[in-house]
Amino acid sequence: MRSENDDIELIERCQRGDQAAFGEIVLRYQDRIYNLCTHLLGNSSEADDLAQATFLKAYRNLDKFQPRAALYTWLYRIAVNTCIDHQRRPFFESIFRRSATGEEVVLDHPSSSPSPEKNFENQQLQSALGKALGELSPKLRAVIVLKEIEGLAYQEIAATLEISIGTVKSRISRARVELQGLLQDFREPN
Amino acid sequence: MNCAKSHRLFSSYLDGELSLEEQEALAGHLQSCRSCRAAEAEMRVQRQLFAGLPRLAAPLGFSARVMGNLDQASVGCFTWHHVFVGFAEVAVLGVIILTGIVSGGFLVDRLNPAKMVTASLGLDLFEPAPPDSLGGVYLALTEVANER
Repeated sequence: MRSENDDIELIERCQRGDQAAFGEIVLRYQDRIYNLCTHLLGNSSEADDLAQATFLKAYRNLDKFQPRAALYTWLYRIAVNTCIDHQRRPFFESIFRRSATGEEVVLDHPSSSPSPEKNFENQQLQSALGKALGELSPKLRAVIVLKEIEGLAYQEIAATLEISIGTVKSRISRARVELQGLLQDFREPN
Repeated sequence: MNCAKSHRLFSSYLDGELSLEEQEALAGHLQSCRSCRAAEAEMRVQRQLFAGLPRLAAPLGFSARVMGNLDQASVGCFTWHHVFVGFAEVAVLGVIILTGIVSGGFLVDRLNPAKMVTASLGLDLFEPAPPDSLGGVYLALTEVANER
């Protein structure tokens, strides 16, 4: 089983110039980083670009990685900041950015719904949830995605975003309340 | 515990982040308060929706593309793309400022009293009225009144 010690060993090899070690890091974390970027941006094309940018930034800043932090925490932080910065980009960048290519692979998620109708309703609600996520501010979206989709604990989110645990709790609570309101609007549009 | 406090604790309760004392207090309140029970249940439904979202895998060839760009990454993030975009931003900003200056200068010119063409209401712009006209009689009468 992979451990944090394995990650630290890989980082040390990268810092000594071993590109193959960095390739191993990319393979280990590409799905998590891509998944995170997709849910932060709501767009798989942009997610591909920014997930790549995340790893390239990590490569450029390998010398800044502190071994006391978990590698995935550090990568998540770069990914979140990259996505937030991207959403704040000036108008001209949006004109000139390049789009990524590549097919999206969606993992099958078994449905536990008792009936096709319930399954359809759940799919509709999940689609609404995806749209509602896009309505949140980047800060609230980041904490709720890290919590609900990436499954991080409060302490891990605090370390990732370099905020206090109190701030994590507050933002998660606000995000859930806002999402509840947005999903309510979906259910009762009138 | 009242409903307001109960609502504030829902999120942490859902995440198992409450102290034992807070958990017991909230659980006790939920037993007796139907509206809080419904609100807490709504939050759990939201969690279930999140659990149903698909886990996405990186596209095929993702790691190869990252590794292919490593050499560019290692020399810093400088690209001509950034230079061009930066130049475009400065250029458009310059055009906007210049347009403002020119149009502002033009407006100031228009408002300059020395250069304004003002319609004069002085009678000297008009040709004198013929003596036998109504205007001529009026002017004659006003001249007489002024002399007095």
